[in-house]
Amino acid sequence: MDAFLTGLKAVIDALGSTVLLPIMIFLFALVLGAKPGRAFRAAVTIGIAFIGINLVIGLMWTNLSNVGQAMVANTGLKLDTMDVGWPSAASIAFGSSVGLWVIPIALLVNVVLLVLRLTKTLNIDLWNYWHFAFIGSLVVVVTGNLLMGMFAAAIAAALALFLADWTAKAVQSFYGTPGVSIPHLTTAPGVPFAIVTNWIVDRIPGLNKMEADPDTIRKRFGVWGEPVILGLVIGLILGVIAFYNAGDLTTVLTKVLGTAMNLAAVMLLLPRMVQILMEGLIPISEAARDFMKKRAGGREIYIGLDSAILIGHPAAISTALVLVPIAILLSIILPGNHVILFADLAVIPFVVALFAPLMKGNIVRMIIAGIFELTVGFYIATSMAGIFTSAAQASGFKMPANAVKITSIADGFLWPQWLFARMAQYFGVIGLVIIAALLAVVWFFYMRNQHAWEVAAGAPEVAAASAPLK
Amino acid sequence: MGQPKRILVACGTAIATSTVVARAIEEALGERGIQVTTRQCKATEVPSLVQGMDLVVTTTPVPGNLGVPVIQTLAFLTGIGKEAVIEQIVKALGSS
Amino acid sequence: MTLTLRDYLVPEAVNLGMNAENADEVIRNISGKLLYAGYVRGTFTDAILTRERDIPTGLPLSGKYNAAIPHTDVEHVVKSGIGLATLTRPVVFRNMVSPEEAVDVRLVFVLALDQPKSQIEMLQEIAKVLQEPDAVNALIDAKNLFQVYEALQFNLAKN
Repeated sequence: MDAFLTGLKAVIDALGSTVLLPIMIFLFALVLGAKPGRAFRAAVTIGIAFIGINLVIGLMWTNLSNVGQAMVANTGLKLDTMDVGWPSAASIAFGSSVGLWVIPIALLVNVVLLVLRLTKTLNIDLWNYWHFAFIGSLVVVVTGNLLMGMFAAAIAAALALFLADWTAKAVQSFYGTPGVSIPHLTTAPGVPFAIVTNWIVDRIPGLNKMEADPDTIRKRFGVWGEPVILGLVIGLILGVIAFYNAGDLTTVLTKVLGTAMNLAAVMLLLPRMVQILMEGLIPISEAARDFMKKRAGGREIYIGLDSAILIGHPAAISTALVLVPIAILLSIILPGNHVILFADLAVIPFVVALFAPLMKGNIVRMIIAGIFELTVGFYIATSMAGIFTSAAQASGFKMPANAVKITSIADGFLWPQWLFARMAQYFGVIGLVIIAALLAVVWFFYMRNQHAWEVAAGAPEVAAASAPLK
Repeated sequence: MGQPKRILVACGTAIATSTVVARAIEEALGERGIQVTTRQCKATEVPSLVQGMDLVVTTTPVPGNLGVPVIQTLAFLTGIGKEAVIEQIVKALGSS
Repeated sequence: MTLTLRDYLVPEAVNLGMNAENADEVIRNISGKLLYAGYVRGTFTDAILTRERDIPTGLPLSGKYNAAIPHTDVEHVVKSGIGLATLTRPVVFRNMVSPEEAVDVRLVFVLALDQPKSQIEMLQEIAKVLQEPDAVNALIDAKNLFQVYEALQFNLAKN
């Protein structure tokens, strides 16, 4: 079995998401009864869209990383836990034997929950299954027990499905992406922070009435409020803060203007790529809907995707850009924080993406929620740094030269990972059973009143039959 | 019950294996109500230390003709045939 | 406080998936790493090679794979530590209990011990691991230290 899984992983790695995803979507569409011609075209379109999305995200990543790292260097900050980015977490996830098993485990959990009608999401986002494996590996680290790690990975997969279902309607209506849900464990954990922030801000006079979504900004500021211009301006500001001392005037100007243009490009291109994705996805989700109507009494089914499709919204990008210097500032002023941000600054858009539907794209609220989540995150990461570091080292991850301990925002800052690790550490198997039980209880209440829960997560009060593309 | 039986436990270096074997023998025989004391030594030291011993249990070959039964086994390290060897030891002790 | 195998295993002296020609090569490799990491004296390598020649440590186990546990006198040890090598193809060690016999070995624990009597729990752990074919298999299949710890069921959270 181990050899089969290693082989499978090798195939997945070799073909890469750009080839494998369209193949899977094609097969999936055929199973759903779509005409081969339509299915093929849709699959290729989706593959192309993801290539485009990844290209633009890569552009954003490079620029955001350069900016962030320059800022950190400028502050002369020296803390002992370095954020080395999500590759360290992926290394941990696949370092443990849980890594190979996560695909069959998570798929099995998904199928079982679908059959039991407890979830509507089919999580075909296989590459992000590694987040479940990461949680499993953390549990192995603190308990030494592989079976417990696999159990934890299974629960994590279920948690992702629940969070995906809960936020699906909100995502679909706000982002105009019908039939889609987001079972992504870097993004989904943000939802409670958004809910709490909303609750608090609603009670602050003045702030609670402030409208700060991209449409309002565009209306107030005219051309200055266009997302592209927003990207340009924020890029300029970030560039100046980061590169003001980068060298002579030519160097500084090049870097600053380059950053501004690149981030403006991201603001424009990313949403366009997502539009292409939707073009490809709509026939698939329609085929899924027809299939479910014929075979499963009109049950809805969502296709679980990477949250990359969410960060194309100007609200998410703007929030993330503003949060970069704020996050660096937080790392300096938070007492007891040991984490210095670095490689994963560019992951912040993924972390905040789900704030948008809940907060109707209100950038100010999203920034506040982001500050909240990051602050908690700093303390979680500081507390888990020892475990994270020994696990990464043991998995063969190359420690950077000047880091005593390491972490990553994508998986080291978030509460599910912390919860699983600590419960398993202090309560062993009982801890995991408690988490599963809590999840079951929460799920039960959700199922009883799906609409109210979904509205609380940002879905529109009146359910739209099928949201039109923006 | 009489005096506890004395077992000389030998291995190549008197470091790792004889330590594990000695403890394993004490526990296994203790469970059967047989008191033993063990002494660890190197295989080369066996002829000089065998005086007064009831049994020699060793993991490496030792010279023969010691006047005392010798059981050569890896069972306490590998687990293979452990029960059989314990029976052998009990029998060897019973007959001396 | 009793120290366990986890405390003695020296990460710098772990070599997984080693492709070695013979027992000497394996022993030299791991002993060298133990020397470099400060656990043994310069005399350790020659001493352990000599010891292995006179009193071999090959152990035929009950499962698919066999092991060897080379070690030598305490005077060559600075501080106690254990090195580990897993081999991609079998290497011949001589059988501890019948030195004329060859044993095909894929798992080698190099023991640098200075006080065996107080390290008895740790040694018993090694014996337990060797008696468990599943643990032996898992060790030999391990691709990184993480999976070694998993195979040995270590808890990595030292706090």
